[in-house]
Amino acid sequence: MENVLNNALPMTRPTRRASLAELAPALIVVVLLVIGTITSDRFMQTNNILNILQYAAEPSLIAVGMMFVILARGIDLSVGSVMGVGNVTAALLLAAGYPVIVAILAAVAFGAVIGLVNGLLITKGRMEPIIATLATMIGVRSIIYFMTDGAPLFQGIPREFVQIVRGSVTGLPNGVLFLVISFLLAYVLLNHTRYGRHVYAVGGSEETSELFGIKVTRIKISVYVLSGVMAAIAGVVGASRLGIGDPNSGIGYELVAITMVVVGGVRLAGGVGTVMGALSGVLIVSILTNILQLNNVSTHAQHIFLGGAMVGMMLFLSWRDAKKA
Amino acid sequence: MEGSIVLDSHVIETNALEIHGVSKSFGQNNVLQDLNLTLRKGEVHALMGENGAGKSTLIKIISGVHKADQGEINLNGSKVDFHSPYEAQIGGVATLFQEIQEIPDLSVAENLYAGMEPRKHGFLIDWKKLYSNAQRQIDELGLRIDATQKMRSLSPSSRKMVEIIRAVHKRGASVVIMDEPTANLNQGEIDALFSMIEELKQKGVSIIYISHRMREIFQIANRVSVLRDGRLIRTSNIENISEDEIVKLMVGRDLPALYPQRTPPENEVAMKVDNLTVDGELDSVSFEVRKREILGIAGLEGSGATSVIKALFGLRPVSGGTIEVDGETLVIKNPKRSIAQGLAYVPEDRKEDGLFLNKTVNFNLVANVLKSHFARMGFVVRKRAAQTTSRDVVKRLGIKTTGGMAKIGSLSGGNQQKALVGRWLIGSYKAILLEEPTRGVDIGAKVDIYEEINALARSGLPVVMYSSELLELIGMCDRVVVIRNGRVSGILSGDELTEENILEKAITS
Ligand SMILES: Nc1ncnc2c1ncn2[C@@H]1O[C@H](COP(=O)(O)OP(=O)(O)OP(=O)(O)O)[C@@H](O)[C@H]1O
Ligand SMILES: [Mg+2]
Repeated sequence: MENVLNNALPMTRPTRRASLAELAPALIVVVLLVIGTITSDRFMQTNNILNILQYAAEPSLIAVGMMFVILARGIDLSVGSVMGVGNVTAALLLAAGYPVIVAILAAVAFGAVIGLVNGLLITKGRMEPIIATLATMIGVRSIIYFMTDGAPLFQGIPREFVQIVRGSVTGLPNGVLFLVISFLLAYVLLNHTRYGRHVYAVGGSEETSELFGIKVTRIKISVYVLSGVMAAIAGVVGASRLGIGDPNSGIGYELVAITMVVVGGVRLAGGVGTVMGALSGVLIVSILTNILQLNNVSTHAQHIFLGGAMVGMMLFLSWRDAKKA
Repeated sequence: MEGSIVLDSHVIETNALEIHGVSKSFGQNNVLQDLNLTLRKGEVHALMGENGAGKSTLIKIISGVHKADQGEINLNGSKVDFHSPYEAQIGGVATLFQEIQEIPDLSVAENLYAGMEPRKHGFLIDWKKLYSNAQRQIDELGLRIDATQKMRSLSPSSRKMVEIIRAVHKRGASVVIMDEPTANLNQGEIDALFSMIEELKQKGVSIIYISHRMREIFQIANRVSVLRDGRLIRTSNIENISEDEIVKLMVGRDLPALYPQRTPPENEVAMKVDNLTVDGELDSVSFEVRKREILGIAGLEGSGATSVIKALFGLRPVSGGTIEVDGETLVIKNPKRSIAQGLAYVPEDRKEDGLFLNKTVNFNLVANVLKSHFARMGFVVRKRAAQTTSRDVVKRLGIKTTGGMAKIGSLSGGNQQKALVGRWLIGSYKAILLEEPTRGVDIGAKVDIYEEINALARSGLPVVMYSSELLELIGMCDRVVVIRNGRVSGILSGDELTEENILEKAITS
């Protein structure tokens, strides 16, 4: 009898078709490409495509960091301000005559420190991520105004710094290269290292992660540091692209980055989402914006479409979750 | 002086774990009082007691989840004070908690190896090795689980098995604690678990085993300790104690018969299920439930038996068939709609589908009827009445709680289960659907829950109930529908209703 029972043990049913939810963002990208081609002759021109990608570089660097934070069940509202701090720190140091490498490292270090502060407030200070990072978002922006007196910096930015983003080593503009590299790195980290898998684990269940011996606090702090670093890099890229230091740099970027990540199917409640999805999210938002611009839709109206895309994705995801339950 | 040293070394040899005078309270609630317990090397020590007796709290203190207010714990002769379950694990105490511990969106293999993933080139995860190691471990136990699947996609029992494998196979544990491991398992898996336990014993590992299932205790335990209201009542060798004695020690009184006296059902059909089909799970399942009848659903895991009730309640995509209750055809779309049409449902997974864990007991008990009974235009207007009603249910089922305002998540597992059943005692329904209604509840509470189910049936309602405990189905049901491969393989009643017959219908054609 025992044997019979053992043979009759359950076979878990394979539910693993390449799921619609995972493919959806990529499909939307394709649909948008078709729509773009139909609605505007200029859309498929090389110049325009490069333009889209270049526009995407800064928010998508931020989105990569944001993705880690959201996967670990957090949120980082301070990224726009951190981008601003990276931007003006680099510009100020360059204007003061420091070497390019020093200016960049200092900007990135500044971002890392703010990320660390966020991480500590959230873990050791037990603050809600949304509150902690809202506070740093406001605080950091005011630091920027102190640093610059609120005025843009036009002078003293050397040509070699501007070349970093505008130049081209590979044939592609360097800005686009940064985008590709950061997504590749994110892919390797999230799918092929313990660190990345533990980010998912922490987002899935902190309690269980603790039990598994995963250093939950360390992981949580690290994702905010990473997010700060990526945002600061985005700020440096912005300074390089425009050749100026702008105290208003990064305003509103936190929302763009969150939209990109969420539209890409990364679950706000943590633990679920793919790098491919997030990349698609970046492309969806960037292409959609471009199509609207090409068709002369006003900036204000553009936001309605972006909001719509986000709501649409959320509805789709919750519909799918409900079906699964 | 010397004498005591000799005594100590003797202790080191024989006892794996010693608990001295442990006390613990949560606020006013004295959960453990001056508790002493010893665990010998290589023994299986069963811990029994009513829901809320303090069993889980004790093991949480041992494993470092809670801190004892008083007392001392010695592991292999030296004092320990763990601050987290992970620390305990490193120190040699592996614990399997009552509530499932998993990362639902990661694969089975990752859940088994999280923190110890095999790597190549220094830092990259060796996925091939990870999957094959995990699969080998699963296959060795004769389980049929795919290591690459996400945890979320497994049945509750497979998920528990994965957790067990993880906890037990941790190298170096000298003490393994299991808190109601079998509550979610089917018979085949229980057998697999027991052979794991046997293996551990051979290796000299000591096991604390908590369960409400008497049979298991007598099957695997060497000694049994009974807890009541946070005190140790007695520790005994299993040979020197009987089932009845244990029950009496647990509840402090004699119990009436386990199963209630049933009144025969009427002839009138109250619920009619016709050709119920769910693609890939159920194929043309038909049966009738009469007024006052309790109809059982039985079947092995994967047979589709658990899908029957879920489909009736609208939790599975029904692709064909009709369901009639009191002559009216129901529209089966989603749980909300089903409740509106008069179906009551107790789910098998209380943590995921059943309770609002961080809401109060009161809220959880009246959640279903809040709108219809106690609210007007979306506002709760009859708060007092809601509280009184909830208090009444707490009393009827003997739910152990510090009050209606306590968070339901702070109740012991069995008491949460009582609340899950209890909420359907309020309000009026046309049919009752139950999955594992007595999962994890103690024997005294079982009697109460059976009595309530019986009362529901006696009031004229049709009851459909799924349970993996066959004795429970036999004790409670008028007829049992056996499901195999998604089809009805037989309907048993009267004298045919035996464990052997059910199993035969469940396994062979
Ligand atoms: N975190 C907590 N906060 C407050 N009270 C708690 C907490 N955990 C447990 N309790 C209370 O302690 C008592 C004992 O609970 P415990 O979980 O140890 O019972 P148990 O013997 O394991 O019961 P069961 O068989 O139902 O699992 C209960 O009255 C419970 O409400
Ligand atoms: Mg318990």
